[in-house]
Amino acid sequence: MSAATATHDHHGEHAHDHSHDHHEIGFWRKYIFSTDHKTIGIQYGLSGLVFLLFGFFLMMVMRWTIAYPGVPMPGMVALGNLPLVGGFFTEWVDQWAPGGIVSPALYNMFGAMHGTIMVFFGIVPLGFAAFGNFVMPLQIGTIDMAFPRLNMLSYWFFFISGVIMFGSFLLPTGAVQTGWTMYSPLAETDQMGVKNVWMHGHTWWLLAMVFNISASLLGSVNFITTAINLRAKGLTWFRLPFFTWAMMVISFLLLLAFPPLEVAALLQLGDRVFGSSFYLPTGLMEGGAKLDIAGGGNPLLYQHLFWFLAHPEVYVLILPAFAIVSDVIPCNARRPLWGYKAMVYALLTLAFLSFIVWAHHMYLTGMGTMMSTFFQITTVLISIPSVILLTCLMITLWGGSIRFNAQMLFATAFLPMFGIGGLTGLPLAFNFIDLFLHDTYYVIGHFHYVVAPGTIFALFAGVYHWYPKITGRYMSDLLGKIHFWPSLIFMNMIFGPMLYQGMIGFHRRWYDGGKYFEQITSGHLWTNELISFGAWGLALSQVPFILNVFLSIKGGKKCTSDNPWGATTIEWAAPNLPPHGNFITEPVAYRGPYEYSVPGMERDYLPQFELEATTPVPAVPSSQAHF
Amino acid sequence: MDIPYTTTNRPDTGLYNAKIGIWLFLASEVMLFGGLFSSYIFLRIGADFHWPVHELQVLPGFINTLVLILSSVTVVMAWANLKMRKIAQYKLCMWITILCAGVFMCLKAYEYYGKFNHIGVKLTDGTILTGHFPEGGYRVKLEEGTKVTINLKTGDPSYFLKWVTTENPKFKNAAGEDVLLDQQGSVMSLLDVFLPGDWDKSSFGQLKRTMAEAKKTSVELTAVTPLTIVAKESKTFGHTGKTITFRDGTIVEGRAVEDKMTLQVDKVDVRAALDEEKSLAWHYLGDEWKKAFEEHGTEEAEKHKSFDKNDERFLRHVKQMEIHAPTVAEHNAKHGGAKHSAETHAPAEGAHGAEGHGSHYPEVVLERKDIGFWSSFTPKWNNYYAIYFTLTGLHGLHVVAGALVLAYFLLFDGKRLKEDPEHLANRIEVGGLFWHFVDLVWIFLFPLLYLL
Repeated sequence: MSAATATHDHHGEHAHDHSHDHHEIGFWRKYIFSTDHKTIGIQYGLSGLVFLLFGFFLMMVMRWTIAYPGVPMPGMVALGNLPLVGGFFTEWVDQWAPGGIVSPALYNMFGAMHGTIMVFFGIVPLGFAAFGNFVMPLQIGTIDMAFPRLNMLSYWFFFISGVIMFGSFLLPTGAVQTGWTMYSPLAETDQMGVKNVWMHGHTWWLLAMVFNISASLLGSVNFITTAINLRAKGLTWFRLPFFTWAMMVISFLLLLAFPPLEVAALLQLGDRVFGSSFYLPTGLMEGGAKLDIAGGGNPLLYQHLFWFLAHPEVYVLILPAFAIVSDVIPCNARRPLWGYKAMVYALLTLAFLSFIVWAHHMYLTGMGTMMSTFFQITTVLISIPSVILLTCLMITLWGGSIRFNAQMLFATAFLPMFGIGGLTGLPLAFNFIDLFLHDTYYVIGHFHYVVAPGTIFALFAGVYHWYPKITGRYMSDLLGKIHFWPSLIFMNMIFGPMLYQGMIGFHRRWYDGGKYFEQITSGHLWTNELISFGAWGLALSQVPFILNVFLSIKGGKKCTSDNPWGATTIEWAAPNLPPHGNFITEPVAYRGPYEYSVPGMERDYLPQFELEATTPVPAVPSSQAHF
Repeated sequence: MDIPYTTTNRPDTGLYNAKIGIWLFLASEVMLFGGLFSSYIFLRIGADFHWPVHELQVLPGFINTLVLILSSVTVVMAWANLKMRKIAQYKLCMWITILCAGVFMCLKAYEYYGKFNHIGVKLTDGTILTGHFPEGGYRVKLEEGTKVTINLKTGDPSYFLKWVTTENPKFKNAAGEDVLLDQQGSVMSLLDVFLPGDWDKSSFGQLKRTMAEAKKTSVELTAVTPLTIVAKESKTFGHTGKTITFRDGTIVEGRAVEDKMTLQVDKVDVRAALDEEKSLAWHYLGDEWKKAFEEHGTEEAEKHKSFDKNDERFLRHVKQMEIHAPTVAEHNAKHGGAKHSAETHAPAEGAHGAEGHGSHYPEVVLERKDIGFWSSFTPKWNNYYAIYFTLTGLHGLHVVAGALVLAYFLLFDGKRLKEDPEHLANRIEVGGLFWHFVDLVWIFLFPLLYLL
């Protein structure tokens, strides 16, 4: 820390005595059971990255059997040769992939868990919890979250939930196999033939989700309270960086949308464990036999409760990306965020609309044309605020002097990638087109364009951008570029052909990639191989990133300034490796968050937290002058 | 370095942190219970069975409502007294609040207990009989030669034996050798019989591998003696005529010489019966009860003639009858002087063995073939009870959690009471807000579940 505060001349003399205050905190309290928002953010970040990688690994196994159905997967049997755990893997492989051939059950299991892990354990913890926790309190100039102990509890709930979710792979029944949406009644009649109802994958999934939801709720209460009550002096609502706005809105989405999922999970748990029939209709048969249930329930209830969460959840997945990108782009384009206020209003509109579009996932359930029409209209409407956000970011680039460093490459790539994701979603909004595209690879392609080259690229941008604040060192820009270009190519190689496959009619849940449905797929099966090679290529192109993250902790170039990118928001006022308590002197916000290239100024940025401007502050803040 | 605004209000928002926090939390709670209430509406509107109405005892629910309202008042008084630094009164009010939570939970437990022992049986023609098991309840007696298949992957032999009431059941294996199974039997000892030879018996993993090599996943036994099984419903996946599948995967398959349920009936409901005149209920209960039912129906129809004949409210009164006999204890206490309710004047002799246990409930012995579905009044019985247990159970958890938090403030926050009573008052306020929310949920729950 002390080395990093070289340019902190008016703070420098306090730096040393401050760092002496906290020497008494032991290892466990400092790194494991920490209440410091930065440590918790890093904990969330590392866990999220691990889960992201794990979810990706599941997908690569699936891609093997899609491309080469019935062919033993290389390395699968060899798992048994691993030291220590080998014996266990021998059994596991025997059960799920005999002879190394991925069984349909394993494919279903990995498919369901890929979705669950990526959404609830990868992207939300990384985008919302990790970046939100680390950056947001710094950005609003406060010393910590409003409820630090709840914050710690939130992480540990998340951790427990991750352990349960991961543990479910090792159960005799395996993890859950009914798709990440867990539609009833299939999800309820599956895996029922076990002695102890508490010991199967689905019950563990539900329990893990209860913990995960609790973690999200604690986190979001904390985030909103912090943003409302702990803002630095002078940091009025419209001086808040867009990042903080987005984090607050995401918190509201999580806060209000997650409880219905908790209800859905509770009722499903009731159906499985206590024999109720919330989602089970009268006269349901299973394997030719009538089930011993009262009936009278309705599977649609589950879908309503589930999608009431899961659609806002989509915005929980994408908004952290907008949050990060709208800090990275102005900073590296050296231009104020164009239409900052419009973006904030668009964000609020988006959040509101996201609560009334859920049933566009249910056009095919026969819920009625009236309902479909209503949800079709709201779904088309929600594209307007999304387009506003995207357009503002693109116009921000216009006329900027752009620094194409690694984070800017990822941030700019985010724009067209999200654009493709968004535009391919429009046809799905119309129920008559959705009729044909529903449950095909087109939907997979659309959704993944939004979250994979969309959100995940933005998350990468965020890692490169804030890494100096976390470690005091830069990540290697060269490795960053070696990470970026192949990633961009392979991402498109994976998800582009999926759109094409979907329009042909490839169904999303074929474990053999459609070999069996020759009349549909013949002549197009090569696309499966293409996509699979894309996936493995993408895996390889993450190697430079992983190396970069770990090697740069000690080996990266040292930052000579606390504000290495010349950014304007308050987190850059804190010393690199901010101490417990974050700031050396209490920061004050004097102006809007995006004062780049202020006319007449010698320096091309004017931070929010600096009182003395070298030239007079213009009467109209430049962030609004363009709007 | 302290977090600002834990005790004082931030000037521009006028709020301290915890107050924002609790309101946000309550917003999320509203969505949680809102989701459940919506589910209730969805299930009730979409129900394809007669949604139970007025089936719960109103009195305990009503008392609970009053108890919770009282506790909401006392928690505010506790806060006000603390603000005025009247410590003794503060403590008294807190104790009353926590006591109220205790009373609430006790009444709740009483209500739950009654339901766990109450059995509903839906006969194959749609008639519903409810009542209690005398003892034994559902029993199946399978003749000798019954095949028992034990799934070695998931099951163990002692599991199904728990539910076998036959003294000294005897089994043979496929080779015709006697196999001794007792309550202590385990997979290991069983395997000795089926996998003779040298193998490492020390680890479960090794065992499973040995099994896999021998391609054995299950063991088949044949019962030499008849088996009587009295299984709890939760331990099986139901009886499908010939087979009983236990939760551990053990399958018992044989011809039943006896497959019956004894029930002391306390209510007959023919609303869903295919033909109420020929309802199976009369087959079991006898013509006397049928006559009594018809008289009851005429009386009730007279009382409710303002309703349409197909109106759910009309059907509810006319097409079901409570057999509201006093319990044995009550009966002895009042001994003949009791004024029986209108329905019970019907003689019980029609039903088999009615007076057998000194009870006024007619006792019937139902044949397996006539039973469509049965359950205790747990979530399994129907979706009304399912949502009842979910809503009240979740609410009960909130009551317990709220009471624990308040008890913590009362008992373990003494240091803060001395040094920073204002902060403690804030905590009580936040706890009190939560407590009011819990109260409010009950105010919605009570009419929804007990009255509507």
